[in-house]
Amino acid sequence: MLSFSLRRTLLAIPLLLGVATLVFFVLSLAPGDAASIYLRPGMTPETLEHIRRSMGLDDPLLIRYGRWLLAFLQGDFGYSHFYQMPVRDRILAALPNTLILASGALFFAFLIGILVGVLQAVKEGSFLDSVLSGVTLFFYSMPSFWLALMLILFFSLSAMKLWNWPFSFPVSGIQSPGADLLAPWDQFRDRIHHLVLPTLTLTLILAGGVARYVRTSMLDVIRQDYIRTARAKGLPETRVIMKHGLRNGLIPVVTLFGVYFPFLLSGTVLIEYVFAWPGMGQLMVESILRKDLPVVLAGTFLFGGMVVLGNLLADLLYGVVDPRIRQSDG
Amino acid sequence: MSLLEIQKLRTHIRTAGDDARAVDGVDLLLEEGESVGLVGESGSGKTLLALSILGLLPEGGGAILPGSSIRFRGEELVGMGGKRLREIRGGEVAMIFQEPMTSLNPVFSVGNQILEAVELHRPLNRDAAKEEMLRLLGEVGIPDPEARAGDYPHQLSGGMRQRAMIAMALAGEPSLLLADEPTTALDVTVEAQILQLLKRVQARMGMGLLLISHDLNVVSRVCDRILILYGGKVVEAGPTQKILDAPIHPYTRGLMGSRLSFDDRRRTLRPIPGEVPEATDWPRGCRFHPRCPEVMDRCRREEPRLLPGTERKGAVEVQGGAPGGGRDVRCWLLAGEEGGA
Repeated sequence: MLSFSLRRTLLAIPLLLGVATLVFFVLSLAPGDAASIYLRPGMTPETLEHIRRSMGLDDPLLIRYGRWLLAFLQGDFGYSHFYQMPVRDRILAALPNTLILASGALFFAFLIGILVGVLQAVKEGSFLDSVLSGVTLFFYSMPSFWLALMLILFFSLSAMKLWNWPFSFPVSGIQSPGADLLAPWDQFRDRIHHLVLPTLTLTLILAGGVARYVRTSMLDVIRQDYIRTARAKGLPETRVIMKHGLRNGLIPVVTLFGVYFPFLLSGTVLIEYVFAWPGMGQLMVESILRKDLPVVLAGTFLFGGMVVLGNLLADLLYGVVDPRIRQSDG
Repeated sequence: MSLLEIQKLRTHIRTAGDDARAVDGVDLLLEEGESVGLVGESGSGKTLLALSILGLLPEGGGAILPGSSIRFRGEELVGMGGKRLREIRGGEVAMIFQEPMTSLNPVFSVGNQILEAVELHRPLNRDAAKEEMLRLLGEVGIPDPEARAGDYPHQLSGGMRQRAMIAMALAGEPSLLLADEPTTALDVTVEAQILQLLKRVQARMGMGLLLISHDLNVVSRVCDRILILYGGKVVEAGPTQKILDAPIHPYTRGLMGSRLSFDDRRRTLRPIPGEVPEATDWPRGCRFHPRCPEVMDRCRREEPRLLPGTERKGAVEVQGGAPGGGRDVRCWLLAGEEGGA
């Protein structure tokens, strides 16, 4: 089981390099390059050409590729001309913001999704089940940017101005201007305030999918013989469902965790964009638009790595939740 | 007061069309320490009867009709819920099922699942409960209980799994054990061991036992009395030996003829032709009449009652004895000319 996972992880390394290589060549096909960052009004074509040469952009494609690959394999992600700093530092600046947003959202999405899904399965066919099915489908199929805009409309704009609610949440960014001057506690509160809407958006969208998945899985589980055994034993219904049912019902949900896991690093591009959240998603979009190739390549590699890590984690989690997998050696 | 007294039990399954009358007016008496066998083909309603006792009918899958009564030591179980029902389940009345593989939870170790039952029904602290769990594993003949307790169901053989199920059922020291086809999924050699085990623990703990099986052989090895079920009704009931020696109802005789025996190996098997009709659509008259080799006109028109009797055909001696004590048969062959409904 462990060796199987290890083998798969090792196999992922060439795959990830392949993906980065593909991105390298595809982006090279697009017109324009990073030298345009230095373009200023009144600059002569000769000057631009000079800049381009100094950046090594006039070398043949294969040479540039070889240079990038060599540095990359040595752990050097390169230099971002747009941000004027090493790629590593730029990514390390964006990463914590994405981690905070995505980990909170993932936590609440699974918590709410599992509770709702179990409730639906237990009350299958009831009015409550139908209503919750409608709600989860609504959020599951909702475009995230639209939901984000609607939440902004409700909780940020209308809340204060139209309905005189005593609170409203900030629309964008991770903190208010000048928040650095606040006392530590107020600074913390300000940060939390800014987290609410983006986390809520991401949570609602992910929770819808989790709930639908858990409902299906639990419906299958609660018809199993061992649930009847648990009842025949004299266990209270809550323990029958939450212990004997849920432990089995969550096994397929592990897959979903593997799928959502990469969000921790990649963030969700659209949500970060709408909320001007300075995380990885936003950084990637900006970098693609600016032709900031080293950042895009490093980001691609990281995201790919997260997908692989997510799968690996899911494999290991399977072993934790399902003893039948733990004890079979692959 | 009897340990278990079932009166006029009717359990129906709701379907799109007519209700399936799966259990259709069954009376059953089980005294303290007695073992009673319930025999019938698939579709005879025997499993639903057992599930009805502990209120374990699948949701939307079956309902006990008003007028039915199931009394455990005088306490009415029909309609009971809540805490008292949970105390009885596993504590006073335990149940084991046909498929030990699917009936044990695959993600918990067998020790854990037995321990859960011990802690639920016995006033023991953690350590004592654990010791009791190991003792139970030993009691049901699982070798090296300390090591096996940590095993998951998939690591055990079918026979060991059923032993673990029995250990779990014994955890609450029940006074009645319901065993629904406990050996059907097992090898014949293992079957014999499990039956022996059931017999032994029943005798040692003085438990009542309701053993349900499609196999007359299985039941006759363990039970004091046998009830033969057909079409949701009891067609013959009586002491095991009497039924085996002189089956009266044509269906019982059919079951005897279709069972394998080591004693007379040259005897040809005589299966009962046809199959059990759908419970939504019982035939008029006697429910067995389409398959009965001795069918008469009357069988097609009128349904016979369950009558006490000792001999078949002609001179039937009617007993005025205690219900369940002697022999009850539901067949027109017994009624002669005058005893009709």
